Parts: sequence; structure tokens; C-alpha cells
Amino acid sequence: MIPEKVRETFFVMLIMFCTVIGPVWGETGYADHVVQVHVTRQSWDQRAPWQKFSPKTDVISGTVVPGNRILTEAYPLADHLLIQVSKGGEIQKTMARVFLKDYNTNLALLEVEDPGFFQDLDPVAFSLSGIPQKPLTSAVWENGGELRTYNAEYLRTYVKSYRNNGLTLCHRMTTDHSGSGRSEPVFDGEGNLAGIISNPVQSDGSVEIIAADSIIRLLRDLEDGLYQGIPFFWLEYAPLKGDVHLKRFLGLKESDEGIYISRIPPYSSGSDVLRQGDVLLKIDGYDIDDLGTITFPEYGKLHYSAAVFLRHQEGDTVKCLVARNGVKQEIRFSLKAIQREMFLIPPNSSDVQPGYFVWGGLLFQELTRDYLTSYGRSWRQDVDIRFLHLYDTMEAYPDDERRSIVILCKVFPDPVNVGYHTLRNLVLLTVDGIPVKDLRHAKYLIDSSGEPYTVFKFAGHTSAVLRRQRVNEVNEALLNRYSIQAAEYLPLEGWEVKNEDPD
Amino acid sequence: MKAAGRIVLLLPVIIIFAVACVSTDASRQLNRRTIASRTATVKIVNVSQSPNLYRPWEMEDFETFSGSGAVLKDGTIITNAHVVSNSRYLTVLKENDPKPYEAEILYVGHECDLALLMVKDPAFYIGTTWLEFEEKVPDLNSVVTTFGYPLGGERISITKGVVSRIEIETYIHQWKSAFIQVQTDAAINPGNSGGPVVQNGRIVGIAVQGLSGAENIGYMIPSQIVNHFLDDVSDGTFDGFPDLGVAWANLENPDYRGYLGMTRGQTGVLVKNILPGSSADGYIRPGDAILEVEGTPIGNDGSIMFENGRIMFTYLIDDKQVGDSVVITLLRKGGKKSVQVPLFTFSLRIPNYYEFEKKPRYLIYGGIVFQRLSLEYLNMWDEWWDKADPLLLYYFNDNVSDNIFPEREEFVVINKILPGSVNLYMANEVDGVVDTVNGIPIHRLEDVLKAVEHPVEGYTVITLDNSPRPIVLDAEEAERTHADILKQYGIASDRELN
Repeated sequence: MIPEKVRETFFVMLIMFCTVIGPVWGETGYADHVVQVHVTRQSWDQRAPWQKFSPKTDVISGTVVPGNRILTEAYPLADHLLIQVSKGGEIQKTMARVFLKDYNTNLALLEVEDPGFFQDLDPVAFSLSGIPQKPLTSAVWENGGELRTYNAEYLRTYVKSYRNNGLTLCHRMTTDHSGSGRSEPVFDGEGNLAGIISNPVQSDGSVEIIAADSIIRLLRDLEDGLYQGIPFFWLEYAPLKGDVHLKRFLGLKESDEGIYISRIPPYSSGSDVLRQGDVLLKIDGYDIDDLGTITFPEYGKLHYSAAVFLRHQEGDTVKCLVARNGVKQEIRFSLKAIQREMFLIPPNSSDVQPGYFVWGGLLFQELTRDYLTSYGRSWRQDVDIRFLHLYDTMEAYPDDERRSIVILCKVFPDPVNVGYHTLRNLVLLTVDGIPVKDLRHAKYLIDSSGEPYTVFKFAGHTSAVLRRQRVNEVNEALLNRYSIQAAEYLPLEGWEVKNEDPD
Repeated sequence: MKAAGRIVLLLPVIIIFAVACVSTDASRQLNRRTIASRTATVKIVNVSQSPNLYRPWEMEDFETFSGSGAVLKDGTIITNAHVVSNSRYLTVLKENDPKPYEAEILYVGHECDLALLMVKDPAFYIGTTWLEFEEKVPDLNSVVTTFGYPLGGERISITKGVVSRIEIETYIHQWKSAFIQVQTDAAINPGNSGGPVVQNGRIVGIAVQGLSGAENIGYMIPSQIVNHFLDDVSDGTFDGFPDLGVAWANLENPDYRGYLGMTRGQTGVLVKNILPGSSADGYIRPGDAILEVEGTPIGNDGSIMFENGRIMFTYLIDDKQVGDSVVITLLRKGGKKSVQVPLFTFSLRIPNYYEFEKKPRYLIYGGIVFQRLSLEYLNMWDEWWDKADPLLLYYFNDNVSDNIFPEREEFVVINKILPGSVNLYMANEVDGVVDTVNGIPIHRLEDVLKAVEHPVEGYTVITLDNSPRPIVLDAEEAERTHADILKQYGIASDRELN
């Protein structure tokens, strides 16, 4: 690991270097930075996970960054099959591949197979941290090979959170380009990159820009060749909001400001030292106010998490001041990176086939956010209320006993499963009385059982029994009848047989 | 969000009906019977007033509804519960007599949607006849006649139809229970409710509800259920229908039956869950198969033979009175076993049915209005099943099956905050479910009352389920400003703990 100080110096030099050699600004300057990214994507059908939806091709923008890479957003590349890039508004496309896709920051980097692609392109330099200098311009290649520029006006800066775990620093801007929202770069008055647009124009004419700060953070993270991602520091908290009664009750002075910690997930950084009931007053030297914000010199008020995710990465130590039982004390903890296994209900399952198996017509999967949202726009109203409750409350975290929530999605009607045809969206608790740890484990329990009957118990006192021999006799024909291409696709990661005691 | 005004969901759905019967007997006999049915059918006008769930210390404006009823041999009048519910002033009218006679409610059974009235003035009975009940359920496709006053008309209406279907269906007035219902194609309209449905001069049912969105589907309460109600009240109290307290599933899957050790000829249903404290608790266990009830074999789909068709076996329980017992044959761990289960009624911690004649329970402290979670509470939302708070919906749907907070006798919810200096810092806690007050677990509204007497270092601390921020009130200030808040918001009483 490169010492932090050295890393920082190197990085500052890199940015300065880019700034110095930057071309003369003007529209031609933008043209050297902006490319088109043609992405063909095909997502898995979460409710029939052996098949995919129709492929779609979108054209988004990419921005050339140092190191012959192209910066764009991660979400538009979800479930990609083919990525091509084109420059100068030309029709000719060049194959590209994903170098890094980070859904937690919604940023992605592409590499191009042909190194000659970058010959007449220039990497951008970045705006220094702070409110970007006017005038702001976004640039995009239009159909017909013309680079169009649009004006943008800065409104404010804030921390955006994605799906419970992702965090980016964003600017909100107004723009005169009603079609914006496809990763177009926004340049400041000096021609440096202020950020990339990350969401379609809202009805109020504003767009969201992923700020250069977050992009710089990502590039800096990559310097040692290993991308760790933003650290995972996640509290459930309530801002004190000037509540003098609460403050007095907690043994604080009226002038003390901060946030009340109500829960801290066991996987979060700091979970070993912070406690429920602590009041977080300071983080990494920043005072936290009664609304949960800190004051950044460059931006003013920002959510307290910015002190951690923008300025630090895994392994760094963060210093906090907390009030515990009315006594102020300093607490230090080191930062952990986000891992998939931190979530019982994964917030994002793009790019991988959903795990499933069909046994006796019973379709089992793992509960994911993408499964829930497959119910469409009003998914919160349409999904099973127990699923929604599990998702909303995050009341459990994965551990050795339960790594994911296995669900019975539906039953493909067949004589073998008569009586169970109406069962759907049930949480599987046990197979043959043994608590289920994850999908792989559930399948293992079924396969390894020596009993003639396999007994499934679900939440809500529902149960089903199938006779193994009968299922084995009909499973193949059932799969064929419903055109289910494979009986199972088990996630690569998860419970393994070797974990089990030999008895 | 919760809707601004209470939705009167119930009454518009219920369409009152009365079916008149014409038999194929001689026309003279027919006439005599029709006249008897006519003069035994009365119009009932009810001035009803419902509580206001938003402001539980207030009542809604009164509304006037009309329905029908039938005079019985002892001078009582049988009608629907929904015709007379939440009554403030009740009158009965006869055909060809302009005088409204004041009536009193003797008994009301909301779950079976039946009520028994009496007119105080003996003059009312001059010129009326009375009707008796037929014991048997009318045959399918046999002709029945409804008598009643649909759409509030002054003159009696007589319509004819046939019996289309006999089934166990939810009685929508209280939305609590499903009992046997007889479906007919006779025209059913608001105002028919409570009127007699007659065949061969005898009542075969009481018109009860129509089905909106379908044509020519109306329902009557058959005489079995009416007789159950009349038997029940014959001792002077209405006890209601007993609940077995069993959640069951079909056993249509042969492998499941094989796993339970059922032999080839055996049929029955699977016991999923037993409601704690219900009739079955201690007698029947989850995982048992119910093979027979009172010697009647249960089908794998839960049906039994009844008349010429099949209906749900729960009919056999409905047929019993509170205090009776029922003999149930079980298969437990492969062995046959008979249990005699004493039957009683059972109420849920979160009522999933409508309540009547009762003021909503509430309590005000520190300007916070505490109420209990119930169907009526959720009904404050438009399309509550989609739009109400998800945590409340989860509790409502799954509190029994998931045994959520088994120690809670009811779920105490913050319905409203009446802003004042004492609760200045409260914000998003509306519709939160109270977990503790001053460290004391809240199992019912009364617990809040007790807990606030023990403030922690001068503060009352309220915690909610799944809500990060404790609510902290200055206990002395809450005490001191209590009367002012009530006065300021025009609230006569700070509690209703009926």
C-alpha cells in the first residue's frame, strides 16, 4: 500500500499536469474530450430468471480521462453485452470494455481495445473542489456528427445516496438542454470537468451532476491498481433538530449539536465502537449540526457522510467525538469497504444472472431489491407486505446463520404440486426442519436429504411436502413443458458443502 | 396520506334487498300468502351517527338510512344489523299507515348482520301479520319472493327470483366472518335490506346485500343463520358465533397426506396455526390434520356435503352456540384422535373487521393523540390496502401468522399531534406504533396512562417501533399544559377507554 501522503502528492501532481497540458478551450476543445458510448444491454427477467428481456441499445456520452480511459455512468451500463465508442461524431465505432463499474458511486471507466483511438483525443482536467466556475457548458455529440453545447447554471451541491449504500457528491444545475441526462460532461469556465450529468432533466428544468470530487475520488482510489470503493459507514440516526428536551434528557447542553445514533449495522465501519444511543457530535474534525450536516469550506453544508466517503478510503482511521451517557469522548475506527455480503437483501444485482432453482415446479430465488422492483413503478404497493417490511426495516443483517432470504416465488402447476398452486412470494424458513442459510444451502438440503419426503416450511405457517421420488420422475418434463431452460442457476458465491460439519 | 374525511365505505356497498315468493299453489292461497307477507313487512328508518376516527372525541354528522324488516310471531321485528347500526333514533312504518312508530333494538349481531327490534306502541301491531321461518334451505332454482321498501319508497315492492347458489361467503357488514349465504337473481337495491325472502308463505331468508359490479346477484341470510341468532338471544344475551381459532390449509397434495400418514381413503385439512387463547388452543396443534367435525368427513379442500352440494366445513362450527362443544377427529403423528373442543368467541388484537356502537378508544397526553390499530384506523386512508403506512399494513396482515409482539394486547398508534409548546419538536411520528413509554412496554392504551406517571428524570420518553428518534417531553410541562391543549382544541375529554 502506498503511504497516504505520497499518494496524495502524486495525485495532486497528476491533476496539475493535466491542467497544464490542457488544450486551448473552445468548442474544438470539448470535442477532444467527449465521445459517444454505444451500449447494448440485456437484463435478466427477475421473475423468470432463466431468460432475459429484449436487448436494448442506448447511446450515452463518455468523457476522456487520464490513462486512456473513458468515464461514464455505471447504471446505464447495467447488464451490458456490448460496448462500442465513437469519437468526433463519426459513425465508425470501436470496441470498448468495462474497466470499472461502481454502482455505489454510479461511475464507470471504459477501456478501448485499439490504443490508436485516443490519438486525437485529450484527457480532461478536473475542476478544483468547490462551486464550479461560470459559465458552465455541457457538450454532447448529436446525430449528424455535430457537437452541441448547452448552458448550465449551478444551483447547489449535496450528497446523493443510492439504494441504501451508494454515495456521491452531486451538483444540481439548470440547463437549457431538455434532452440531457445521458452522462454528458459539464465543463466549467476554465474548460475543466465539473462533473457528468446523471439523471434526466426534471420537470423544474434541473439536472443532477456527479461532481468532479466524486470522480477524482474514484481515480485516486485506483492509483494503487486496486479499487476499493467508497468506505461503508452507515448509521441509522435521527438529527437532534434543536430538540432541547431530547438534548437535556441525553445530558447535553442546548448548544451541543449532532445526531442521535439509533442503530448501526454490524458490518458498518465503526460498529465495534459506536453504540446505539450515542450522539455523534464531530466527525473527522467537522462539527455535525442538529440537521446532520457539516460545513465544507468549498461547498458549505453537506451531509456528514461526505467527511468520510469523499475524503477517505478503506483502512483510513476516522476520528469522532460522541456523547455517551452525557459524557463526551473521542472515538476512532478504521474504515471498511462495501461488500456484497453486507446486505441480506442485495441493493443491486445487475450484471449477474439471478440465482434460482425449480424443484417439483416450486421456483425458489433469493430476495433482492431488483426482484422487488420488477413489480414495476408501484412496486412498493404491489409486492408482498412481508417482503416490503423486510426491505424497509433491514431488521436483520446477514450472518453465518442466514446469508440471504430464500423465497418461493411461484409454483408451476403440475400434478406433482397439486394443492400448492396458489402459493407465491413466501419466505422459506426450513427444509426438513433445518434453517435455510441461502439459496445454495436450500438446494443442498433438498439434494442431500435421505428422507422420502421433503418438507418446506415458510413464514406465516405455510408448508408444503413433496415426495422426492415423484419430483425426480417429473422434474424434467415439467421444465420442458414450461420452457424453463435449466433446472437451476445457483449463485457462484454462497454456502459451500465444506462448511458443513461432517456428521 | 390519510384522506381528509372518513370514507363511508360500507353502506353504499351493501344493497338492501327483498325477494318475494310466488309458489305454484292455487292462486287464492297465493294471494292470501302474499297479503300476509305484505302486512308482515315493514319499513325501518334509522338515524345513525358514526364516530370520527380522525377526531375520536367527536361524532360525525348524523345520516338517515332506510331498510326493511319482517314482523315475527312474538311481535319482534327481524332486520339487518346494518339497517339499525349506530342508531340514534329508530322508527318503523307499515304500508298504508303514515305514522312512524318508535322502535327499540333488543339484540344486534353485527357479524351475522341481524337485529331484532320491538315497537313500543301496541297500536302498531293492529293490522300487521307475522311470518315464520322455514327450516330448510330453499332448493337451487326454486322461486323466492322478496318483500321490502327499496330505494326508500313509501309503497312495498315485491320482486321474484330464483335461488342461484348456496355458498359460504363473507358477511360484508362487519367483514368479520363468512357464513352460509343464499344467492338469488332477484333485484336487490338499497332499502331492501332486512326484508323477508319468502317461499310458500314462510321466510327462507333475510335480504342482505347486493353485489355491485355484477348483474342480478343478491344475497340473503338463510333461516339457519337467522335461527342461530334467535336461539342465541333467547337467553337474553347475544353471544355471537363461536370461533374455533384454527388457520388451516388444504391437503389436496397426495404427498402431503402421505407424509402425515393419512391412509388412502382419509381426507381432511391441515392445521397451519392456532390462535393463542382461542377455542382450539390446547386441543388442536399445528401440523394436525382435521379429518372429521361432528362425525362429518372433511374433504381435502375443506368442504363437506351439504344439501345437494358442498360447502366449507366451517359451517359445522357456525352451527354451534357459544358454550357448546364440538367433536373433532384429528390425525396427529399418524394416529387418529378425537377431541371435544368447548367453543367460545375470540377477538383479535388488531380488529380486522368493523366495529359498531362503540366510541373509538383514545388517549391524549402532551397533545399526542394515541389510538389503537384496527381496520377502522386503516380505513382513514383512501385505498388503505395499498396506501396506508407499510409498517401498519404489515402488523395488520401478519400479526397473527408472524406472532408479532405476542405480549401486546393491542397496538397503540399515534394518530395525531395537537401542536403546543410541549410537543414543539415532534415531527414525523404520526402513525408511529408506540413501543415503550418511560421504559415501560406499551401493551394497551391504559399502559400509556400508567407509564406517564413515572417520568425519567423529569422527562416522558416515548419510543416507537422502527423509528430512530425517542420522543422526549417535559413531564411537568405536559401536566401543566394538558388542560389548555384540550381547551384550545375544543376537546371535551382526554380519553375514551371503553
